[in-house]
Amino acid sequence: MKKEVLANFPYTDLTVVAFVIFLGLFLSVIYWLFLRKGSAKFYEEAQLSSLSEGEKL
Amino acid sequence: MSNEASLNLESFSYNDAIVRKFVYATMLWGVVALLLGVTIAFQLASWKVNLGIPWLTFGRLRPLHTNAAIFAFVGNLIFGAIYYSTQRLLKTRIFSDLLGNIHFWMWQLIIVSAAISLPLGYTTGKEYAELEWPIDIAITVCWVIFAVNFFGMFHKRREKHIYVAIWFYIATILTVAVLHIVNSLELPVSLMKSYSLYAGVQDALIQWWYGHNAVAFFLTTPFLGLMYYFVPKAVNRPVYSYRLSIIHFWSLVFMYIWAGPHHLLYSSLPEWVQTVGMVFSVALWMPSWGGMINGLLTMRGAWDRVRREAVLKFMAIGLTFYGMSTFEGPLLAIKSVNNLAHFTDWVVGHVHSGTIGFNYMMVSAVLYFLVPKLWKTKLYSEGLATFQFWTATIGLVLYITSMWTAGITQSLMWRAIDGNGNLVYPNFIETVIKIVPMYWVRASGGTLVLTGFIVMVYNLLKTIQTAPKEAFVEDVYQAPSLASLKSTEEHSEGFHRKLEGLPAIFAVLALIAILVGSMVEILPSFLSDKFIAKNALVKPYSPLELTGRDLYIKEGCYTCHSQMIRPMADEKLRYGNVSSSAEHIYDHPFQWGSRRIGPDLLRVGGKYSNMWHYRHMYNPREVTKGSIMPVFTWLFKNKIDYNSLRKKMKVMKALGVPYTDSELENSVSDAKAQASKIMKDLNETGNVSMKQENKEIIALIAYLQRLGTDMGGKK
Repeated sequence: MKKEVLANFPYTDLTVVAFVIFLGLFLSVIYWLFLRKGSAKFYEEAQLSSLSEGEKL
Repeated sequence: MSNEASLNLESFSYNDAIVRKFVYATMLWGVVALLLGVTIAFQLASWKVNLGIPWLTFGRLRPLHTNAAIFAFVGNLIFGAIYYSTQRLLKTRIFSDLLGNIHFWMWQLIIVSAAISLPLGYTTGKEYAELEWPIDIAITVCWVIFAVNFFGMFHKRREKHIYVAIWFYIATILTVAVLHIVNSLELPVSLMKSYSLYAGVQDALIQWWYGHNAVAFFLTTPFLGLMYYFVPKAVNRPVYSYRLSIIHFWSLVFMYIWAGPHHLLYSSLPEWVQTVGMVFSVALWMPSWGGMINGLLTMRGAWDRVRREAVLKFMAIGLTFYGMSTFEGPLLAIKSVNNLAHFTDWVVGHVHSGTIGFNYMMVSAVLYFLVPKLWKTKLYSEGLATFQFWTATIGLVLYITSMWTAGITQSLMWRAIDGNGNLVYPNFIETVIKIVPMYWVRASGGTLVLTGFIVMVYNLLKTIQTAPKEAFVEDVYQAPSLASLKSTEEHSEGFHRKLEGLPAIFAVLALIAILVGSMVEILPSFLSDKFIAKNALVKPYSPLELTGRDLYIKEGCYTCHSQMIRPMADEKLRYGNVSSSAEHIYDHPFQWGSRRIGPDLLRVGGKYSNMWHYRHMYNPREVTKGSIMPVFTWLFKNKIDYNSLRKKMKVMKALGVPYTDSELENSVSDAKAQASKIMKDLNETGNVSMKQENKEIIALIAYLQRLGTDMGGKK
């Protein structure tokens, strides 16, 4: 049994399950980043951190 | 009390001295790595450039070129630029100046060790991981020092949010550590000789899991981090979409690690592993292009400056080539395309569109950014930078197009079958001679790339000369402490926002993301004895054959010859029976190779006489007119090392090769007996002096004559 599973991959249903999981995760991330309340403001502030080096004395 | 009033301001400075050191090292090793690349390019165009000197031969210099380009040239830039950007992104000095200096000097020592050991033939025979075990250990220690210095900065930081560039650095540091340690597991025979813990299919899978992800996590993720820092800094505006960068990060890090098996399509690897590798490689199109688009769109509104400023010019071309090579990579991973391209120069062209097009151009951009900033001066000449831009771009185009042409020509000639089912070009050399002109074009292109780099080094050194004395005085900066920033937080944070401020948990999650794919791919290979049907015909190498195999590895034969016959009509016609996983079970390390500058050797055993091999190794053109193979005359002078034979077999036995105690006991006498038999044949057929009996060439002939004879080859 193990030999068969490892040598071949006949379980095509598993690829559908994997696809649904990956798509679900991807859509969740999209929701989290773009649709959640307050996201836009937070990331607008966060992206500016690359430009600041602290105040030079 | 207002928020501003409650902020506790702290003063600090950045350690730019360490960055300056890495900048110098990048310039130095960049010239060395590119010079080596040009040298081996000319060696393929003309065998005479090998000069007949062992340590200057293609097989030994090619690993040195790849290691120098990846770990010395690119590596030094990564370290310097990560130290520079992370200090500023976290508003803190590096964790320890002392650790920074140890890191720098230890890395240079490792590079020098590689530069000495690889030309001398001390190699593990695994691509991009050729360095022997003491150097592997030194790399691990040095990497840990770097990691401590990097992660230590988080404790001293004055910025709550961990910017996306740093996520890419975290993924780089953790993944490279995992890749290097797992792939480098080996049992030492002596101070500079070891055998891989893995064999055959298992070794191949782990090696290409490492090899592909060395590209992903040493040549790509750190540069994407640098892109997210240096492109916004150069155009003085934030990244086009920060949210896209988050999707870019997680999808890229998760998917990249699965793609390794696309290097082993149509091999004797289990079919499902190949399919998974192909699917994830194709899926990588999306995050790669998401990142490229994000980088290029960050330059919106600054395109007029691209024409004038070296930094932006090189960033724009670098990101464009990143897009092109990450389009070509998934394309090459599709099985039907890979069928055509694998083992050909097309893959070499693809690799260089990434390493020169993306890495070289981005390194140049970062250096043009850093040097004037670090030495507090202006760039010596924008004109020279423009000159470099065009020489490098034209050189790269020549390189890529010549390799595309050579690769497709090779493949079409290899597979051409006439109406009677016979090969149209049965002599492999016909396909080599046809592409030699392309090798000249490639070498010319490489020379232009090198010329451009030397011009940049000159430009940067002249820039440094104009630095004012106060350039080395550290500036003092001021920023609120992290504690005071946290105390003024106005709103509750979501999960990912908290996560972005918690480097330890973030690092663990990133590690999990890369371990999922790694486990799925690697674990089955640890059960390889379950799915590889043992074949009683497959026997361990004899002592003399084992010695010959070590010489095969030492001379870097795998850099030109494969040992993997794919299930295709033309390969079966040309080379013999298709490879099976069973016949590689004693190969520590595997020697499937990745190119066919010369023909596949898996079933070369018995195909030619001992005398043919003897003459071929002394002067390849004596038996194969037009051959571009170097001469290996030193094998006719160097004596076989019988002293270490027993130890070698003992180590092999410890790795699972079923040598008996009596075979170990009689290893030297058995080897001498086999050498005597070959010598007698050479003496009878070619009147070769019997004094040659103890020379290395005899051991190499023993190995070559054994290849593939267990299953399907001629005895």
